[in-house]
Amino acid sequence: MRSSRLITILAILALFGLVGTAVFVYLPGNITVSPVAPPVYFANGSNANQAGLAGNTMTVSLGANQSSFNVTLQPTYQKTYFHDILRIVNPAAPAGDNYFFAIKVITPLGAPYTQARMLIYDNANNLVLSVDLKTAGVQGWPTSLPDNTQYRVDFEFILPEGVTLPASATIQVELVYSPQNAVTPP
Amino acid sequence: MNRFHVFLSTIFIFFLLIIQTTASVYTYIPGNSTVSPISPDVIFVPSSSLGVSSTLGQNRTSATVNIKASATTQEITTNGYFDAGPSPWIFIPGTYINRGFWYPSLYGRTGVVSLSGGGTGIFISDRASIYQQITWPSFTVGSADVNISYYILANLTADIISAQFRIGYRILDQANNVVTSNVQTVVSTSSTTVNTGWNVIVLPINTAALTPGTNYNLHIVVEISLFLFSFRITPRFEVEYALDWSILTVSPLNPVFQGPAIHMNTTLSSYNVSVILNSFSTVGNVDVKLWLRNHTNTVDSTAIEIQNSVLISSQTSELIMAPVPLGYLSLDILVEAEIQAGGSVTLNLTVKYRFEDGVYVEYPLTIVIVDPPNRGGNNVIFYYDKPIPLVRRS
Repeated sequence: MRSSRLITILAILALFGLVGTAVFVYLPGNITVSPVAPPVYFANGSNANQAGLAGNTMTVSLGANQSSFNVTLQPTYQKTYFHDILRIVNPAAPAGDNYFFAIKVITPLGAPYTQARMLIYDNANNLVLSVDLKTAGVQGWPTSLPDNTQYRVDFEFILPEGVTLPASATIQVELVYSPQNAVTPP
Repeated sequence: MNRFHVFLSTIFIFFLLIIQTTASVYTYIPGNSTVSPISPDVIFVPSSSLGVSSTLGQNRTSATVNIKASATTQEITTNGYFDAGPSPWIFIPGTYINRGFWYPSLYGRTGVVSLSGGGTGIFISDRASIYQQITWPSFTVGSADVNISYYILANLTADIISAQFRIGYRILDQANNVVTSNVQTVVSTSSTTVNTGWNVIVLPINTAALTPGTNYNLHIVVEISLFLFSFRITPRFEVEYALDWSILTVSPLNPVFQGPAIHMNTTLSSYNVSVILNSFSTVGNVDVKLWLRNHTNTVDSTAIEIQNSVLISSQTSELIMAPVPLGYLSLDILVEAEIQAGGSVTLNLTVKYRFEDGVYVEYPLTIVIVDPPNRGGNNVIFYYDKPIPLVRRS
């Protein structure tokens, strides 16, 4: 008897599948969006907006909520290294919120540069992540960004001698962060 | 609870677990980095030193320098031929030989120093000199000497005359102690007049007494020892030493090079510069020093140093390199090298310049120092320091 009841239910469900659009069921739900202040944000490095080579300024501008950045750098031939231009901040408050992050390169830097890197260091000057800015995609997942941490961001470029000085080019990146690290972000 | 309910519950819990595992949040915050390259503000400039040839990169941000070391005899005095006037020679008068002059021409020679004087007396002994500071070479000196061209004129008035005229050198340290000397009697006479005409004396130096790389004062000395006796008149004398040249030359024991291997120049900004030795290779025994000097020639960096082919120091200290007036260069990269005959050394270097804390640039630099093949021949001492036109066949 119980088995016949089960068979009956399954048969009814199967009929629904076969019939398809014969009936629609609407189940309501509410999604409440409560925005919060960004728990991870950008900050100026100690050399942001300071003079660089040949009197040029290494400019850094941050978004109104420090959730975006625009940097302009002026390398020359051979290897040019820009130190402490930007910071990545996980502030002390709220306490205990640890994150993982990576850098997603959306628009990489092309030729004639033979090398372009974003180098991220912790407070002890340990390299935590080296990002190849000539290669698109997510790099460095998951890199730890503990609570109350501020990472230093340097840039390095190699422009080989003998090529015509190229025009300005813009590298687009995204910093992607999450409280979990089990799955690589899309 | 019947089996059906257990089955449905199990399925429900399973799906809950899947949802819990996969659901999370990713936040993406964008950034743009604009790269605007510039022409180099700092460039290499080739050295015009004898024996140096350079190959620069197309934008003068890399260089390969080839240096031919040489065992040729070289002069270490300045203006030893007096052609540029009396400087840097300083006159120390004696009691009697107390007049010192430089003449553009004298007794048929150009650029001549005259030391003269006179007096009365019976037993007369006096010394006068001219001196300048020299730096004893850092390389191993095989031999060295002082070469003096002189002309002595004297008038001696007495009934009995015994006169010696001497010339030579004394080398003193900075505390005024005599380190080594060699003064020779060139005239010994009982005549009333002395007229030697132009002569040359070559006096060897005891090189073992001198410390490499040390500053000394080289004195060219003239001395008189006179016995003048007269029954009827007051004995008196007049003497003049004319010098056409007084030079100190050294012959390296091994092939050597001293001087700027290459220069650097900046036009817009000042930078802190240093040089790093990445690697080196040697053939035979090698001593090398490399350091930086800015255009004022008053400040030197510490040196990269290799002794007996063993690395002592792999990096110079930083030196400030600043824009300079037209016709000058901001920075010299100096080299002192002594290599075994037939030997060589290759230095693979990085020149690093930084602007404060925010940015630095690295240029590659290779320096190769060799003892060139088929060196052969005799060591030549050049007595003339300016070109002399050849007489044409008429």
